[in-house]
Amino acid sequence: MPNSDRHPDIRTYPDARLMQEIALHNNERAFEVLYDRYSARMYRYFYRLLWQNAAKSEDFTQDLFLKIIEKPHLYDPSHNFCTWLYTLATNMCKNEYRRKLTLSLQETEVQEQIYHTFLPEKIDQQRLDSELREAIGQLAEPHRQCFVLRYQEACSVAQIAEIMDCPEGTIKSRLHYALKQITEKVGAFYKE
Amino acid sequence: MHFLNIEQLALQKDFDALLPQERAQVLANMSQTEYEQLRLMLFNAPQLDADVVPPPALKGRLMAQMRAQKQAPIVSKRGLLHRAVPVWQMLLAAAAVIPLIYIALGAKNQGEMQPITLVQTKTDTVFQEKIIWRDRIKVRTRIVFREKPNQPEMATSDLFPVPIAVSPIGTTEMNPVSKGSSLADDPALMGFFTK
Repeated sequence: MPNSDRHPDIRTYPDARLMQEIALHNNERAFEVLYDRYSARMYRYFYRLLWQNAAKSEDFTQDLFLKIIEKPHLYDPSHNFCTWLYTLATNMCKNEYRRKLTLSLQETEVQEQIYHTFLPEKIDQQRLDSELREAIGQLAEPHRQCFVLRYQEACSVAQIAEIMDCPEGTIKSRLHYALKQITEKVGAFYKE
Repeated sequence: MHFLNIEQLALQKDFDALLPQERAQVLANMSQTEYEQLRLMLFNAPQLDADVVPPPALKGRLMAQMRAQKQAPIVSKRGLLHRAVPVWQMLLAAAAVIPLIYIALGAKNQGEMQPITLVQTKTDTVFQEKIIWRDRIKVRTRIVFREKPNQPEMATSDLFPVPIAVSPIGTTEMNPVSKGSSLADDPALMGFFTK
């Protein structure tokens, strides 16, 4: 009998209920549904925050879902599951930033040199994407996280505040700064 | 106008589509070019890396891990509950456990804190003892003998100025050395009793 017949409604379960199934019954199907819902999103989030490094993003996504398998009791059902997942992922990235601080600074210096020596006359979509990606990458970590969560992951300001454990005012300020920085940098290349 | 409101406007409307009031508010914060750049960025940012997906092998690895996690407690249950253990081993194990329990309980009792009843006296009256020194009083009784001067014996005449006539009781003179008269010798005396 296929799994879908045994659990006909499990795909419609809310996240918290699926987590309960995993925590109490080690329900494989519940885990699979959660994975299908969030894996691409979380992989992309890691990819965006970890310098477009696919291998690292894969490792981080695996570690994130392993946490769900091994410690599902850490999830508090009174909180939004998606926010909790983003919080875990953000903290993992912060740890990685700390670990790779020196390397990250070196990479930023290299990127900046390329950035200043490149002044195109006309930017097509592909180039715009490239410049936008670079501009996002040059933001300081907290600003980058805020920007990615807001404009690439479509999180609300309140959600970002919870994920980053900061007041909403701080998040708004960071977003404002990030937008200004990116608009200025991208605008320097953009010419219609 | 807050930048979040401008952001919402930029997501919804092109600069040319803004109402005059909205346009004025936007222009108070940024130029038209900046607004258009912001709009362009906001539309492009979510599309960046949108086609990036995790490798299919990742799901397989995680599902295998999930299965292993699920099987782990079952294996352990079978190992403990369904294993045949000889009766003598069970009895021996139980016998070995009993002294340990006694030791543990003994140690526990020794280690337990005994409750101590503290009686705290509350005194609301204070007695102050005061030592009063007094002179020691010694009472001595002293008998003093005073010598009396030899007074001359009073003469009978001084006591009885009038002479008293004393008639003699008997005819017999009082002889201080006489031992008395025998009844046999004195018939008068005998007569006194026989009358």
